[in-house]
Amino acid sequence: MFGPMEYVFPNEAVEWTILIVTYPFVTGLVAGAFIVSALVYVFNQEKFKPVGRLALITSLVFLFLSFLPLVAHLHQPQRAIEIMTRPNFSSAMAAFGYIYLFYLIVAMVETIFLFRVNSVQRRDSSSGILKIVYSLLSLGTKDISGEAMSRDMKIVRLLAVIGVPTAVLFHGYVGFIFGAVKANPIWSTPLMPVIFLMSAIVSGVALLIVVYVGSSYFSGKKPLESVVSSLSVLLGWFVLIDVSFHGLEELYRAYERTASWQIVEQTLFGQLYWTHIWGEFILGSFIPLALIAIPRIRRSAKWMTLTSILVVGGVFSMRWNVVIGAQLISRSGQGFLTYTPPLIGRESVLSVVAIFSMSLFLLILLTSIFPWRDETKEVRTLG
Amino acid sequence: MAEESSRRNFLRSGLAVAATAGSLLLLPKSVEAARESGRSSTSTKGKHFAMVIDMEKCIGCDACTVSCKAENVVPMGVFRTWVEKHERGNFPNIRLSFAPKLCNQCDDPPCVPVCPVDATFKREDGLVLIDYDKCIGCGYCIQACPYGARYIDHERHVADKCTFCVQRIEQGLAPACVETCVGGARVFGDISDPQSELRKIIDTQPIQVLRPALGTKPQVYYVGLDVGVA
Repeated sequence: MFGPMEYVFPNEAVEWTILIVTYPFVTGLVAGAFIVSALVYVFNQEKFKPVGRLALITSLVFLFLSFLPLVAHLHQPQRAIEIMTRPNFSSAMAAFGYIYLFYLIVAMVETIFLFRVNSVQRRDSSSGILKIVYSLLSLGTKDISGEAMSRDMKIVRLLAVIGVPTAVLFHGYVGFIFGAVKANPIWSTPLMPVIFLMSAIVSGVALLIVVYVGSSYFSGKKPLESVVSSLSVLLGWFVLIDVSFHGLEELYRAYERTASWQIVEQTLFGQLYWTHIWGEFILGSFIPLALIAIPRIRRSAKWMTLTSILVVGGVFSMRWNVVIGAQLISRSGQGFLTYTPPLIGRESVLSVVAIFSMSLFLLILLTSIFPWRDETKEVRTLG
Repeated sequence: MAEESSRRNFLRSGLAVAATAGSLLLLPKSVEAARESGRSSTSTKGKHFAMVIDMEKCIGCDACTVSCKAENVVPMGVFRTWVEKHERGNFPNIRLSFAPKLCNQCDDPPCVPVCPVDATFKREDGLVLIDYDKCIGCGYCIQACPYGARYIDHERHVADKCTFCVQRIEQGLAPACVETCVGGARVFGDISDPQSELRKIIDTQPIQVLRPALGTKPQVYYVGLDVGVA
């Protein structure tokens, strides 16, 4: 009626790039893996016990790396610490400094206490740098009696209990950062923290399946069918919940058809067709759900590794769609921006590959320092 | 017992180190206050600045865009003010619609609460400004602005935007774009002064603002804002 008017505002650019896609993806892995370890240490879920320690280690690995994409993205990275020294608490982003610090401490201390007995034993049988490392990790203690182990597990349990809401907050606040931006029609929704959190748990559980299978074979043992199956069922339920919330959100938009729907619809089914319909939903959710529904598949380490890779890819697509996809919409409501991440540079594919390479390195390092298989030292303190 | 006391000592010294480091990190507020710059102004005290743009008088000459760039040394590729030009209608019933845009210096600015380090602020005189020494360049304020007024200054690596030429208005001058406007489309002044030309226009003519439903309370008003201009 008013004639074609495709334009974008002159200052518009995709400011939050592939690094900012990586950040909620990584924090999602942190939260998701931590929830699995909490299922063991808070809710005493026996079926996840063999993977409880590995889950905590995995969570810690990505926790260590979480700040990297953020600091790398800042235009003034040397001022990054000011988020902690001079925070403006009306900004959800300011929450990062303190929540991150707190969660890091909680997770590190929980890990130290969970593996304290192993550290004490390894200190006695090692020399050189390793001896120093284990001395530090054993916190100067020597007591590995049943009583001491019981005390360790009480501390672990307490920290896991504190850690669950912290993990929820650690990833939920990211959803709030986006959800509270009324300027962007895709971001602005109260469901954003929920959608982020659900997909975080999905990504964490899926990654844990891959890490568990990989670590098992790496240490020369077959992954337990029961563990793979239990994790797969957990994954399946959360994929279902995640798809439901996300689908609900899109259903509302499509039904209400507010002014922004026209351009949002074009974005979701046009610009983002491949990452949204195929990456996030078909390959990332529906096919995995169909696979997990088959008992033979969810018991199979190989099949579940493939399924989990699809799911993890789906969650990354979701982060892409939310972060990049939403920025492709011009505030004019009548035009689109474009974005292709460069292969090399500060905010490039290479940076993301580097971060995940670091995570692999840290995972190998931490699983060799902390023996994730040795659960015989844990003493059940409840029930 | 020896084991207990050695562990206690370890924890005690660890706590001491952490407490010292923690207190060093938190700069005392008085030091910060000394570094505050531009957050208040005596020359503009008691005023509340706003602008009204009469789109009928805009001829799309872009002189405002150029003068702003010159006055504020705005880097290439980004703009503190710009004029959107649209052809409307079907030949022969057509019109050209010109929409000058700039930072609206909103009374409820969405860009201010989202800054994680309090680098952007709203002054008493209505101006929304940026402290370039504090900005960490996270880009959140740019995301939050519904009008696309903000940008990253790629030479200074901080966020930036139109400041209503604060350096000029503190000297009693008009912003560069207002001064230069060929058609007299831009009128600037103190909206709290009922005798100002700005206030008279706003009080007597039908005016609009951009995206009022968002609740930002923009202080750039338009006479004859065309439909479809966001």
